[in-house]
Amino acid sequence: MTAGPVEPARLWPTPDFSAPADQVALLPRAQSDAELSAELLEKVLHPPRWLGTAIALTGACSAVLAACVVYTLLTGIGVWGNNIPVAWAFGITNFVWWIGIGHAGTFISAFLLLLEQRWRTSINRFAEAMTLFAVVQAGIFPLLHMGRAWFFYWLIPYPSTMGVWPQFRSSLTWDVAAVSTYLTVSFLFWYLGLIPDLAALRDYAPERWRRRLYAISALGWHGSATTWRTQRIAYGLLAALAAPLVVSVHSIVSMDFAIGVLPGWHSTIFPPYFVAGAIYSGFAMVLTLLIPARRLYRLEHLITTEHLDKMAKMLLVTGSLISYAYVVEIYLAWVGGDSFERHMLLWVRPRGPFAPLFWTVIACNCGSPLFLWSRRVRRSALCLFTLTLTIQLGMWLERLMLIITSLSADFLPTIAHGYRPTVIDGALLVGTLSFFLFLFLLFLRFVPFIPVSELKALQFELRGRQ
Amino acid sequence: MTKQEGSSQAGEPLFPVWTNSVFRLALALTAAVPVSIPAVLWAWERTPYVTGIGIPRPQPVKFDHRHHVRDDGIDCIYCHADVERSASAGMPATSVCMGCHSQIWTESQELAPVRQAFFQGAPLVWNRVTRLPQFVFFNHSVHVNGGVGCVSCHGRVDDMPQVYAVASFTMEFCVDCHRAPEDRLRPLSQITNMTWSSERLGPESRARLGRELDAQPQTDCTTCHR
Amino acid sequence: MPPLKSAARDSCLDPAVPEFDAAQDQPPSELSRREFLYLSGATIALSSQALPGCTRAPAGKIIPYRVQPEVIVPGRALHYATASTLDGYATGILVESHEGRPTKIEGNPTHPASLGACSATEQALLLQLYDPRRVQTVTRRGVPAQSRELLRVLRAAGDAKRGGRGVHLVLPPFSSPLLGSQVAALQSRLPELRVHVHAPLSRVNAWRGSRLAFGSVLETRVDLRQAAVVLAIDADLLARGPEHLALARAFADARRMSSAGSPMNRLYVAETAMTVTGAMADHRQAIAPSEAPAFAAALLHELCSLLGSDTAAVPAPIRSDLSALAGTSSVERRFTHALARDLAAHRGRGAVLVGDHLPPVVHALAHAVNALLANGALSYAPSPIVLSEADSFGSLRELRAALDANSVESLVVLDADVAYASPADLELESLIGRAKESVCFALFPNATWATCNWRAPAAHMIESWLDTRALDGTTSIVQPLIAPLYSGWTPSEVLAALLGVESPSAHDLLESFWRERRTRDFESFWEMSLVRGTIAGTEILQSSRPELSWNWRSFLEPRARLQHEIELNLVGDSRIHDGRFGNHPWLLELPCPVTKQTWGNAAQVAPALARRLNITDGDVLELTQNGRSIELPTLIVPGHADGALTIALGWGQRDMASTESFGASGYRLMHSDERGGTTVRVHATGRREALALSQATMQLGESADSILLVSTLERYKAQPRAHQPQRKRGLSMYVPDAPRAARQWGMTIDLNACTGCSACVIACQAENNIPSVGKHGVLEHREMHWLRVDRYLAASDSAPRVMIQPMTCQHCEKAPCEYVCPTGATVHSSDGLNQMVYNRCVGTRFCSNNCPYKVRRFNWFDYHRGEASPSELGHNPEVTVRARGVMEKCTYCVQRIRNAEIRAKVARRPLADHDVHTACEQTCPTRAIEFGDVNDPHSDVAKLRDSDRAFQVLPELGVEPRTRYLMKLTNPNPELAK
Repeated sequence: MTAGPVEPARLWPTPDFSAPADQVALLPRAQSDAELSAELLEKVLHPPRWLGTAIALTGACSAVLAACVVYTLLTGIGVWGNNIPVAWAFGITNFVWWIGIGHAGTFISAFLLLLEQRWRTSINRFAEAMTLFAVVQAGIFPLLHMGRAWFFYWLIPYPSTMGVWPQFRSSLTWDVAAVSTYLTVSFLFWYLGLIPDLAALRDYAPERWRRRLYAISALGWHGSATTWRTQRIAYGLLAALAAPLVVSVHSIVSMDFAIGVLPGWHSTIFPPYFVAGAIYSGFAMVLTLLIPARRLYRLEHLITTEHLDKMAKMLLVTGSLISYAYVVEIYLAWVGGDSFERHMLLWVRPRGPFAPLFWTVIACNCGSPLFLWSRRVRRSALCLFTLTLTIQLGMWLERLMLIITSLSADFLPTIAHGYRPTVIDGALLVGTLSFFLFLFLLFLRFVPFIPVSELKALQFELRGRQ
Repeated sequence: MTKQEGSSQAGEPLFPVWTNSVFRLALALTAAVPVSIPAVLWAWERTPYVTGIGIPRPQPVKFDHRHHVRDDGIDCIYCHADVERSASAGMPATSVCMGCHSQIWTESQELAPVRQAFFQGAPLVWNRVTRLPQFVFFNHSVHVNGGVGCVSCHGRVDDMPQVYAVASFTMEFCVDCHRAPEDRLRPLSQITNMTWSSERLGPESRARLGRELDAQPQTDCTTCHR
Repeated sequence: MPPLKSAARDSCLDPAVPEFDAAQDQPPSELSRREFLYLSGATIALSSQALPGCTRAPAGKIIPYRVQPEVIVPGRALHYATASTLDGYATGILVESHEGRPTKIEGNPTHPASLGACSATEQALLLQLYDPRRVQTVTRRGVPAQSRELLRVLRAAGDAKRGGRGVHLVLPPFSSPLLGSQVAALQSRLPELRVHVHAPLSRVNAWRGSRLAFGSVLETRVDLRQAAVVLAIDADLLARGPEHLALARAFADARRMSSAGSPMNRLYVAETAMTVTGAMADHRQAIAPSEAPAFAAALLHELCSLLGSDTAAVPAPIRSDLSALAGTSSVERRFTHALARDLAAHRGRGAVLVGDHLPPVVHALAHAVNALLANGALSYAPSPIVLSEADSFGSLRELRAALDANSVESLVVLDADVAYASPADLELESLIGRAKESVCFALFPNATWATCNWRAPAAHMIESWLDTRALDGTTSIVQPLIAPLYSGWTPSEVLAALLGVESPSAHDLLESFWRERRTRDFESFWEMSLVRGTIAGTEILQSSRPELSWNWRSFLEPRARLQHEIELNLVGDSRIHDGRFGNHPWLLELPCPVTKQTWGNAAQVAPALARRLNITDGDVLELTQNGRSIELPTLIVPGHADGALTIALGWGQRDMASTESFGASGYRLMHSDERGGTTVRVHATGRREALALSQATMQLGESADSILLVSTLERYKAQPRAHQPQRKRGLSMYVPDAPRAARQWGMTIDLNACTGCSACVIACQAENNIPSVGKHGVLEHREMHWLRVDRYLAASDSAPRVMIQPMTCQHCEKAPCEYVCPTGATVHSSDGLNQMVYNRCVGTRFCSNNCPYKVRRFNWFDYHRGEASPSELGHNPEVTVRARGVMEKCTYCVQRIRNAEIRAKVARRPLADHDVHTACEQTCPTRAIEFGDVNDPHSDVAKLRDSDRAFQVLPELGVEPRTRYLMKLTNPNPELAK
């Protein structure tokens, strides 16, 4: 059968056949539903040859991650480069970075859906999948960085024989709630949107076993008007639920630092500043993945330069927010009376032993987005790709810089001590990267990463029935 | 219309009808898992298998507390002599057993291990019944001098042919009493009395007793964990 | 207390085994525990195999005594008085014992050299006892042998018919009356026996000095309470030497400043390397070793001209020589002059003290100064050290000659590492092999042990029956707390064997020896001495005014100033002494009080010299002296004398048990005719070596005033409360975790008394089962010490002002660590402790991040797993041994608090002030640490908290630390102040 709204759901705009040019540019080529189905579903049923190899490769690298995790759990956190005073380093950096990346997906799917931004259509599932897998990576570290990870459940409130409960003033307790909620919601959101396309695959697939497989995962979807209606409503409600999470989750994560007394951590601007940073790095990651994907799958006519341009603008906005946050942070330290804070932000970071780190961060996060003022850069896939890479590097280094500078030289000069990562630290980072890619490639392999049904709807919306 | 689409539409149903109910059941179960697993674990921790409550331990010598405590009326402290002055209650040295059993039951086969332990010097090896984790520092002396009777934690040992634990010494168990000690207190004269119960006292006399004994157990962590 | 002698023996020798709550200390392995049962037999075995029966609950075993010794109450500790001996001088100690296992060492309050305090060295004896690397068996040329064969060898050597021809006996310095009589007996029995007393750090120069000054060997004793002005010439009197604990106490008492009005002494120090004493100085002058005589002469010269007629006693020729020598002094006249005036102004209330290793003439000069000033603080008495009168004392030249001549029939070395710890030019290590028969009794497999063909275990102090004397002659009985773990020999047993005793037993030898001397009522005497740890009436009579002889003119000729050469200054190490503790994990990891270096020594140089040589910290230098050379990393020490280079002795030993060695041996550069003063050739190799420094920087940085406060005496007297900020208690969003009990624990640390000697660090380590992390661990900044001693420098590189601040958990009332812990593993107790609950900790380390003082420690690995038997038996059973992945930190010794509360409760009495001592407080030589209930206005700690000098570290954070510090005061001489 062919999907398509018989009667538009409430949350869906009424057909507007005189859509503005920039909107039409989102779908330059006029295609029939059948053509769309053929083009997109074929890619799942007959994937490109390179895909298998890539999956195997990333899978192998993920094994390294597993090895490092096991080694750390059996030997102790001592195999990392951490020390006293620098008791947090790569682990927490990776956690904050990954969870931040996760934010773009939900932002795109939820916020832009509620704001009825049409350009989200071709990229939202892509972004949601990315979110999901990023949060999976993020979830590894809070567990792993604990000295006794096997007691992680003490952070969950339950009636224990000890008659004691978690300590709810600590932001770490809230991290557990935040991350798990975020994982659940983004999974549901992703899957709910996926169902119609799974159904389409069920009907489209040649072999019986495949049809069965997709049938099960489509949860018995039959594209009746009511089903569509329910799905759209549920989708909208989840969006409404996910939208606040975008703000809350990373605010809570930022509390891991903001509630500390350390100079450079003890600051009230962290929540907004972290959220902006999260979306910043998230969009960068979306682009990093999207640009090669659209090329390899030859989908430039569905994921157009128009899309890139819009996302580049998001980068520009969030990037400027970040830069502003940096300025405010330093300014406050300068005018504020706290000599330790001043020492940290005006001396240790820009001029201390970690100065190179600091200036790289400034260059990547504040410098590189400036290029995006130019339309040519925004619309050039190659430039964007390189820029997004620098931005992600910048955001990762920023987390690291934030953590280790404040820890390595806080109040008493006698305990000041630097930090040097070990091989395990590096391997864990690389491991999560490849594990992330591994999951992502699986996603490309087994489901259409462009929401076919929504695309058809958009098509109908922009041009009417072909 | 492409070929596949035609085929898929014409094709017979993928699953028989009954699979629907299976499918729904499956969904229901998946939903139940997050609730049921913790519940099971919670219950498991409280089973006698884990806590060891009421499970007598075999001992090298068939020492019967019923006989010694109830019939002979030997006071707990006669054998567990350190209970009033030390953290550990103290297990009777073999010489203490021999104090009587060099006179009576000198031929009993039951007591062969005791005599052997005493004369050959190969010590008796008893099996521990009540056991605390290694990070818990319990002190008998402060409890028995503070008005907490043996029976409160060890139960009616005088009714035990073979000693078994009557309480799982979880933190809850200790903290419950530390938070509200009044009802568990008894006059120092009744510490080793297995049958005395605080019901005999009225609420006001219990309160008075509490004041006399100056019972203010701490609930600080370092009271037990150091 | 019941008879200690019997108690001490029963608890060790009775094979019976007491039951006690073994949950309290956790033997990592069951095997080791069994082994210990077998060895000393006094504890419980745990077994892990489950019982039949349907329960998962782990089954432990309970093994009761056969017959319970009446003094032993399982679960309750006993304390026994004994004494430790270093270079022959005793320090009285109390050893805590749990069911026959020694677990902690404290000072003996009744002993004059301890006064209840302990140095790191004594504290460390405990771990040494249990060290599995100890010599465990008797071997002959590497083959295990019977000890009665060895007995036969010794008896043969001591055969009276041979008259001791070619028999050489090497001993460490000893003051034991028993050993004295045995040696005397040997010498009369074997006229040709040669006895060599070996001590690389002996006081022989001081004795020679007193011989010059007074014509006989006298020990100088000083009562610093009576001294208003003290001059120390390269004498680290507060941290080294036979009486340093008592001296430190007296010195601190004279600076206690209980009120703004109270007096305060003034300390001048002239020294080469920066020392603990130098750090306490009000005025410190850096001088090269060779300049000491000139400086002392200059001082005496100044005094002569100041005191005028009163110095008529000084013969004219000496005066002229003095002025000649004084002329060569490189110390600026201003300093010497002001110092002399100050001493003269406080006539009779001064004291001039000289380092043991300085040449005799410096001692003589100091004696002269003290005599001229009639300084009442000083008194003189014969030395308790046996054979101290002998000229050959401390010299091994004869031995070398004999070995060269192949005339050594049998060489018996008793607990003295002559092969390693002796001047390299003697080449004993290679020569000892020439002895036909050589026997070595050693605690550890050291260099001498390796060169001898008979190798036997020596008994540890805690395993021995012996007697020993303190500097003032006070005699103590050394009693064992445990049967020898490896059936080691005590010196008395060896000497007895040489004397032909059939089967010598240390106890019988000692008891019979004293039985002869105390005939009437021996039993009570014996018990009394064991209980008190000292024998009454054994002090040596002191004379305050020995006659001064001036016949040392010949020594006064000015020596050529060593220009453009670097003088070599070899000093004893502040932790491992002469190297006898060279393999002790606690002491190796204890940061040097001055340089903060761990796990090794370094070539200490002044910043100026480093600049001239163009070297920095960690540059490896090749140091050469007459042919022999060693390589050491550079360590720049502000305040070190320019033109000299200091090396701490005792390092670079090849530990036979483990292949690694730390640092390099200064003995390679030592020459037999003189210690120090010689020169060394320095060559930078260009290589670098990482120094395991526990402290990165000593600069205070910007916000100095919020970290620690220093002032001068007159400024403080002018306005005592000047530094007190008028700060209101900060408001808090948080309600306190626990209801506040009546008792609130708190601590004060007096920076005016603290010398930074670091004894507290080891006391804490011993009390709280704190592991060592090794050199690598220190380099990665993973030390586990709960208590660290921070050291800050101010003022100039050449004359730095040193500030010391012991830093440990401050038990903040509004602790930042508490509200960030997700599991509530660190919370506040009702009596004001910041509790750390190991078994609730999941190890997020957020608490450490949020601790402004960074005093929390994390178990990065399972530090106790690798622990070999029997070392874990030294653990304190009252303290949990922490597992991998949990945080830990100072608990204010909560186990002591709780046990004291329980004792009081059981005894139905209220807890009194000083019922609870933390480990650091108890061992502190200067009583700088005070602990108690701050809510009780009558407690000492509460009074100190209210004193004008009290301040808190980082007050602006508003965390309300419970530990308060007392401002450091200096008392500079107004003449030199400007």
